[in-house]
Amino acid sequence: MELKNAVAGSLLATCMFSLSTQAATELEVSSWKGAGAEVANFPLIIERFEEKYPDIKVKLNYMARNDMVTSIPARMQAGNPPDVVMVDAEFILHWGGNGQLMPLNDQAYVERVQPHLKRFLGLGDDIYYSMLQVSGMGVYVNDDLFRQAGVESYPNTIDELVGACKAFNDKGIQPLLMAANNGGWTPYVYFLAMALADSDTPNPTRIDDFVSGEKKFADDQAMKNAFEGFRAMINADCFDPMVSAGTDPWSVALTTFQSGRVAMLPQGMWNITPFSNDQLPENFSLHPFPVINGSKPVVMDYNGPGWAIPKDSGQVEAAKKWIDFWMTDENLKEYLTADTSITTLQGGTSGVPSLAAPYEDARTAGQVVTFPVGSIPADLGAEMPHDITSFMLDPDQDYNAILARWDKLVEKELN
Amino acid sequence: MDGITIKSKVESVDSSSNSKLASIFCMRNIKQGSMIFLMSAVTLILLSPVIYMVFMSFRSRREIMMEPLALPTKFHFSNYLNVIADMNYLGTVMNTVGVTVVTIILVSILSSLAAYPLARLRSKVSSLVYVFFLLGMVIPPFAALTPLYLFIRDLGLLDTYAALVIVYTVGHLPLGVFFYTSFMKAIPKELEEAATLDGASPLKIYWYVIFPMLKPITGTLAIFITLGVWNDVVNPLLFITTNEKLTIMPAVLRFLGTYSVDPTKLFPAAVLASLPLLVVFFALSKQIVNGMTAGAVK
Amino acid sequence: MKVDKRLLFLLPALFLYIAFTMFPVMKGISLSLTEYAGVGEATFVGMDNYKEIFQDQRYLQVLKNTLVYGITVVIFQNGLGLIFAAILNSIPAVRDAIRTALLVPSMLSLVIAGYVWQFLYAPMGGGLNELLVSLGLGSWQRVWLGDSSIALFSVAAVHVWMFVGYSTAIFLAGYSGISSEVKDAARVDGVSPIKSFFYIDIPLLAPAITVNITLATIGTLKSFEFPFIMTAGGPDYATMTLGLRIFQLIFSEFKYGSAAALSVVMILLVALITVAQNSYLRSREDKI
Repeated sequence: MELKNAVAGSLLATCMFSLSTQAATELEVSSWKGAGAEVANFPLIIERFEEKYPDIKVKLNYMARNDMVTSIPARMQAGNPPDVVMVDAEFILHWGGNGQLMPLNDQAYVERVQPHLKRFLGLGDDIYYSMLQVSGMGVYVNDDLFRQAGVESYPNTIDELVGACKAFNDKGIQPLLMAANNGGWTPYVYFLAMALADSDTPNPTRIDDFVSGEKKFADDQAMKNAFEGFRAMINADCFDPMVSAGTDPWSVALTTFQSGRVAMLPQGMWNITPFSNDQLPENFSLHPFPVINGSKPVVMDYNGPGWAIPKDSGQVEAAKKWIDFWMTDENLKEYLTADTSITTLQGGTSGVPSLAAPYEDARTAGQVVTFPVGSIPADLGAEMPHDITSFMLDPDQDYNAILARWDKLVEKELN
Repeated sequence: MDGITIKSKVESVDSSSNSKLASIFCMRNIKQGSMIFLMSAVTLILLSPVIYMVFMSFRSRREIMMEPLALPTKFHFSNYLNVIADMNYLGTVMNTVGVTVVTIILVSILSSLAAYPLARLRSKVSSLVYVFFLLGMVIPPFAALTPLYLFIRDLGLLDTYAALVIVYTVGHLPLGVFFYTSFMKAIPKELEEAATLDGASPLKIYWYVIFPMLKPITGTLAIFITLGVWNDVVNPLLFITTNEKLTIMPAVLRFLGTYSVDPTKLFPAAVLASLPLLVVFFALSKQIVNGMTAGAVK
Repeated sequence: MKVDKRLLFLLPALFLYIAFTMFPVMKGISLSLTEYAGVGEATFVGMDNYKEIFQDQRYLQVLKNTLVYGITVVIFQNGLGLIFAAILNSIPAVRDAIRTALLVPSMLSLVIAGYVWQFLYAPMGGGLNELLVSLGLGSWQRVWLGDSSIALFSVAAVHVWMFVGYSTAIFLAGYSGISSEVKDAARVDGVSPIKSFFYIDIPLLAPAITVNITLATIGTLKSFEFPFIMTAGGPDYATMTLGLRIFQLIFSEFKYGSAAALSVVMILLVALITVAQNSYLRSREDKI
């Protein structure tokens, strides 16, 4: 009986579904932004799109990023993918690399993207997606705690940071939280910021030399210095390694910083909006990372997600319209403001508020490195955070062994 | 059952002298009282995280951050209203209930039918088949998603409830066979033998003699299936693409952002997700618990 | 030879089971001989994935973690469940109410329970540590998920917390099958409650023990949800279990072939343990 109902129900639903598709082309968009925790102004942009193209109806299929890993490959493999998918560097590497994404080289939007970002839009000569945003990682600062501890200026280098940590500790304030639960994300990011910035204007393609085997991790002084940087921070009690290892960067770390329990938190730019909405901490700002290899602090770009078209997409023309529509400043800026991030368009409008001015200034001055997801082999990307967390918990170990292990992983990948 | 136990205890005590009886009763009361106190305390401790979750769900972000342990000062029902609106609550609950009920019916019929020969026939074949079914409980999730998807697509069942019903039904068959086989072994054969002499066919015997006796174990199985369907995320996201057809857990988990978790959304969504289960559970607790306990062990 | 008609009853379930479970699983695990990114073509690599598993030192730790996690949960969940059931059995007035209450945690989804506990375990301002301070037990504070010597047990404790009610209920069912005459006779004979627990209750509860241990073993050895949400296997692999490693190979490394190979290893391991356990427990039952 119930089965009959269920079947009848689904039949009915199918009928209604086909009725509505007669009126319009239905564009199925799979995305991990646009609803739930991250609405990001999607309703407004979709409304505008449907107004401009009345014959296209957008069906937003929202799911968490992790869930896309289960559902999208199965659908691609079955030749039945969504018409548009949200992808990031990792998905480009695996799906694009296996011929599942449609090359978009001849699309008009490509010319509108900032030139230095173009090499991140695909693999080799193929362009696979429209990067919607550059987000980034820096250090959130609780301005009131800085004032309390009498730390006047933001530290540019690890040496200066060590000094600041002393001031904080003297006042009984926990200086920094290197939230490492759930895979060691923060130490990984901080390590890369120090290690990739080998000078005050780091070479943006530096990581590629290691991945191609041209340079060895074990021979690189900047990499070794980054480990020394960790040692210096730990010796100065800048953060408690164990507390950090037990703090989840995506949930608990945020509440810990917001409640004023720690003066500095390395985190992503996307937290500006929730922090501002809560007005917690009351006064905060976003800064670049203090460095070990130079004298000027750096920020870390995080190349954001964007739209791609699976090769078996059923609505290629509508999908292309969708991508082009997003990659115009008037629409994109609505998204960027809601998601507080930097535009990828030439002359485009970013959505970053003034409290991130120190961050933006550093970025404009070229003190920037890029988070290397998608440009390093997956197992290296999985091992590095573990190794760095392990070093953080036991800083007396020999980091040369760790670096040599990374070289081995690269070698394995090259063979 | 309790009545009988108590009565027999009283009777056995009755046989001894009266003064002894009084002292035993007194001692037993004190002992019972302290045991009740102890278990109530333990239960309260074990339930405290759930209570914490409920309290948290009524507090504002600010309150949660500043004083993680405090009680709600003011009930922020807006947390709930926001989440209910965002997740199409009633719809997802109804979808989940529908899929669960159909699955329970199918699993109980199919696996009890299969368990009947497995419990009754002592042959190499039947014990091999039994082990073959049990292997299904050991298989890790994700081992077969892509082939399964291709199969469901070829049947033309993508984006239908039928896909979920099939996947859940088949997924719970091993458990059903495990439960029913061990339960049926304990049912005396005499009943069937009498029916066979009356000339009833095996199918009739199964349906009129065996199946009615399986109620308690079916209760146990129903709980396992309900929890399995209710808490599954992977299959709905794989097979269902229309938001209106989603089941409850994927609808809840969308409040976990990829790079930040909002407690004012997570906690109310968590409470809402478990609420229908808790309500059903308490309403039917007598039947369910009896069924569960009777079934699993006999 | 006459085939018993009742064997036909197996067919519907067997057909569906083979078509929708075993056939896809066989296809799925045949990937273990390939290198495959989830889409596109799979490249045949022979036994490479297996070799890698048996050569990688880290898998030794993963295996150890999985076993420690499984043993801890099985012992504590069933040990506590048995004690709770024994006590509850002696207090019929509140037995049913408490039995139901103890089942409440198992109604939550694993994912949500994991998140709630992450907030409770938070090292600064987390519920558990704050509670310890307010009880005057500040010295008991720990970094529950960050200290690699206790993180695995912190995660296992959540598993026990969630499912101890289930074990209790099943043991109580076992108790309802023990006739009260036996226990009363023992009491009249002056056998102490502790002795009667070990010499009467436990042997008579053998079937319940078998069911509980089997279900708990399979459940924990496969599980990945709690370590995934609470620690992602860290710190430094301290909570990495087989199930979670398989999950990560697929989700963060896109290595479907290696994941399939590890799944095969896990299936064999769990099947082996379950079969050994079952034959031991069943033979114990038969002896009684």
